[in-house]
Amino acid sequence: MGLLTTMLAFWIIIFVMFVMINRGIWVFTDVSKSLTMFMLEKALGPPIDFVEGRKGSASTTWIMHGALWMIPSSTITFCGLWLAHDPDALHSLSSWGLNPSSSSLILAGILTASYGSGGMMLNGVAMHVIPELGGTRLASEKNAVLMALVWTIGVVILFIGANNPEILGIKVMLVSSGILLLSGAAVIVNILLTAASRTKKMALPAWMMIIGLLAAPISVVSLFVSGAHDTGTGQWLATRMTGASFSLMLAGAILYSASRGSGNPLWSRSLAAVTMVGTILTISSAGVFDGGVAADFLGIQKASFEPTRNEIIAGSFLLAMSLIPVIALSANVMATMRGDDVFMENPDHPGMPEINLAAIALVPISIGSLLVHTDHLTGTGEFSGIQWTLAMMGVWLVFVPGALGSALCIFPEASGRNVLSMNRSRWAYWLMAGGAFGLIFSMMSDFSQASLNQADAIIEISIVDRLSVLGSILFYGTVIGSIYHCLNLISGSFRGSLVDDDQPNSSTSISSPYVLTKETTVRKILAQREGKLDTVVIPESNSDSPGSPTEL
Amino acid sequence: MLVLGFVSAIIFLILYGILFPDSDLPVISSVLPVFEGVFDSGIWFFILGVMIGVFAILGTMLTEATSE
Repeated sequence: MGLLTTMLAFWIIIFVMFVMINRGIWVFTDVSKSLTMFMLEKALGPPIDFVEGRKGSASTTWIMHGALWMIPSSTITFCGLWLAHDPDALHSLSSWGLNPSSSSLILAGILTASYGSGGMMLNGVAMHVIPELGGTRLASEKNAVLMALVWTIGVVILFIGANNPEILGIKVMLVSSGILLLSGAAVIVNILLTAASRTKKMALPAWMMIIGLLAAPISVVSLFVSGAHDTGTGQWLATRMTGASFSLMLAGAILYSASRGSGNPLWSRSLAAVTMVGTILTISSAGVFDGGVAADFLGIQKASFEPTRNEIIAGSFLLAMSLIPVIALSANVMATMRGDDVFMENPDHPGMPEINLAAIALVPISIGSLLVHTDHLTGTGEFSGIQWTLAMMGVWLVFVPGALGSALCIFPEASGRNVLSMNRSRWAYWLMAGGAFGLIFSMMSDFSQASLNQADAIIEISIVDRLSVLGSILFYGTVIGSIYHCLNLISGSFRGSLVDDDQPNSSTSISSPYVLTKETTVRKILAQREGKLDTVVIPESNSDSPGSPTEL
Repeated sequence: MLVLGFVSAIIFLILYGILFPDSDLPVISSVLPVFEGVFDSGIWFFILGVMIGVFAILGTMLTEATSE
């Protein structure tokens, strides 16, 4: 029962950590705080003096790094999709010793999008949200800025490792996970110190982000505690628990941003609690399907996936249960964004369309992933052909849009400036979302190929290639959208309008009265951007003229 | 200036073709074979677009950072 033992260890360690964050570590609390603060700043010596330490700089730096990572990760994914139908397209790179294949590029694209793009943006959001909800400041802005650079180096090595796992006998992915662990540990310590200095009760999104940050290293510890690290089931479970870690971070970020951007209170705290507890207690269907990736990260031998009967039953049950927190999150985010009306209250607020897309796409993609995982777990393997496309859809339709939307939402507050142009932001959204929906054609191609394989068809059907071509070309929209977003953020950080200038000024000039044909609410008038607080509302059936008998 | 340069280049190429119909273009005809077999897939046009985007970002960073 390696699966249940590992999950049990995971639950216990998470619970212990939660209690320790709330209660401290007895008499050692103050000593550990001052010692850790010293380790974060002074102990690092001269490098710490090269980085900025003003409020919001850590969050802004991580967000900018994450946004910049969107370009290479989407480009690599695009190349991977292209090579699926034209394997020799990049053969000229072989003169440089590079022989990229479709599968290696797609894996590299998913990993860089997860750790580089979405992961960095979510860390940046956490560095703003947790201090904000705790009524305090980030413990060390300087250390967090410095760690963004270290994390980026880790992701570069991760990209190399995904394409070339071993160079000169060195396991590249293991080096990468070491660097990511070093940077991640500093971020976790920084966040824990911030949480320890909170001045008020923190809302659930902050706790989700803290537990999400902790869940990744805890999953590795629980894997080694249970001894399941060298089994196929354990390695598969490691990728699932990493998915849970990212899911919790994402949930906290989009719940906070949906509320912040729309101006509505969180629709349901109970559903938020269900999301947090449910994600911890179940097996997440998010993330890559192959447990071998976890083995590469940990530098251990890949084991064949041979779950026992009990593991199949327990795993299938916990996987199925993972839909509950997913549906709770999606419903909560959408209801929060819409408030009491049937439409979104503030659709032009930065990041709102991206968060809306992530919340809508979350449920169907999770259901699809659940089916593929259950198929994989039971050994049927009928859906194995679509697993990579489904993972890419999860990344580019849920994870990256959700992280990007949250980042765009808090960027003005963190950096003090707005993005340069809302119009460009809107264009970038449509390009990214449209491009990512192109993956549906890639999935259709995968299904066609799977059907042909099952039928043992020898004839060559060009529809598979044609759909694959269409999918890859459409995905180029995501690449262009990423570039647009980056340009907008970079220019905005220099020339964007100052946030203080955005404060609504009291005005007595009213360009046009809002004509009513039926009863409405002030909320709807404001949400339609038809009026301000001092707009004159004139019901059409009323007038100021004195009454007179009706003429016949 | 860009338009003038472009028009001049086109005029030069047309004139060269008329005056030396059987001769290859100097320098360019020697350089192009180096890239033969390199950009033989449509993916390179897309990658070229990404490169332009990346240079646009670098250019934006430089100009924004150095502008008054």
